[in-house]
Amino acid sequence: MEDKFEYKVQKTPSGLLARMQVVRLGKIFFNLQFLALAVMAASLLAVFVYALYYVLLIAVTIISFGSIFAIYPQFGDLWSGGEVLGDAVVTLSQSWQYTAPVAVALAAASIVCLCFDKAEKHPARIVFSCLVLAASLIFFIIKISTGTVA
Amino acid sequence: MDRTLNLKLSGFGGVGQYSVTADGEQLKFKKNKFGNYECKRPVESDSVKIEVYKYSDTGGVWWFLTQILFFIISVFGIFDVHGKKKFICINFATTIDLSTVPDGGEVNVTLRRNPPKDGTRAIEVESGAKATVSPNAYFVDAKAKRLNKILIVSKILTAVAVIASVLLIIFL
Repeated sequence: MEDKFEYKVQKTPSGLLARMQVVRLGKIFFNLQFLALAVMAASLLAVFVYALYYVLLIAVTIISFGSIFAIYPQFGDLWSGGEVLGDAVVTLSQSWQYTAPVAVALAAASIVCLCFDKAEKHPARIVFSCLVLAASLIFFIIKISTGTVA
Repeated sequence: MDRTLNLKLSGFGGVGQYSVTADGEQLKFKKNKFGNYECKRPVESDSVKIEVYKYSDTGGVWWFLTQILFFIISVFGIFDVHGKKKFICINFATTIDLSTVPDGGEVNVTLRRNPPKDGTRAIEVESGAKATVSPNAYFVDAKAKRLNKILIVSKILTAVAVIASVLLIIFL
């Protein structure tokens, strides 16, 4: 037997609402980790970007049998343009000093916030954050101990 | 008269966002190996009223300010959690008649949650005793929906304000 529906919105307890927001913040931190990781990876691979630039120039020269200098007279200037790129690469390669601690902080904050969720467990996110935390920390310690800080 | 109510929740995912009460008293559940939630409760009266509500994740002023803060932290929502919000709540109550259950006996009640859709039945009751269900519906929380529209406008204004501030700092 079913009567007319009586719609009633239950007020969410403030503790539960706060926990929901903390968990959401944990998910945001988890997503932001990827940005920190990407910049950290870019700082590791920065030296390859520099090499890749010249490999590309050499490749274009070889493929065009040197005619590229005739077709595009400013092509020669691009070879010295590598110095400007070199400065950018040096800056990028030193960016790990900031991104590694940020990645560690984001991973740690993400793990702590996600652990507040009583309704749902987040094993994949927590395990991934733990891996990022460990990898970033090891990377940072190795860089510091080898004295590569600018 | 002392009977035991064995209550099982099926299809609820996590019970954290639900409020399940028996005669107004909040129940605590344990997850079994099949992913369902179970609870045992002694009942002294001849009937027991079970109510289920789904808590909304929208709130008051502090909640609103938190959302704006999250919007900025998540770089204008780019790194935020995305998903279509339905603002669907559950309103469910059932009264289980235990008068036919002998003293010291047990009654098994299973609440099976249906897929959420506005205006449809929220929960199916499987009971060893007579169950009277009222109300039993999914419904859209209109207040939360309205608040979300205001929040979207506020987020747009916040984004414009932040971008304008940054441009002013750069060019002045």
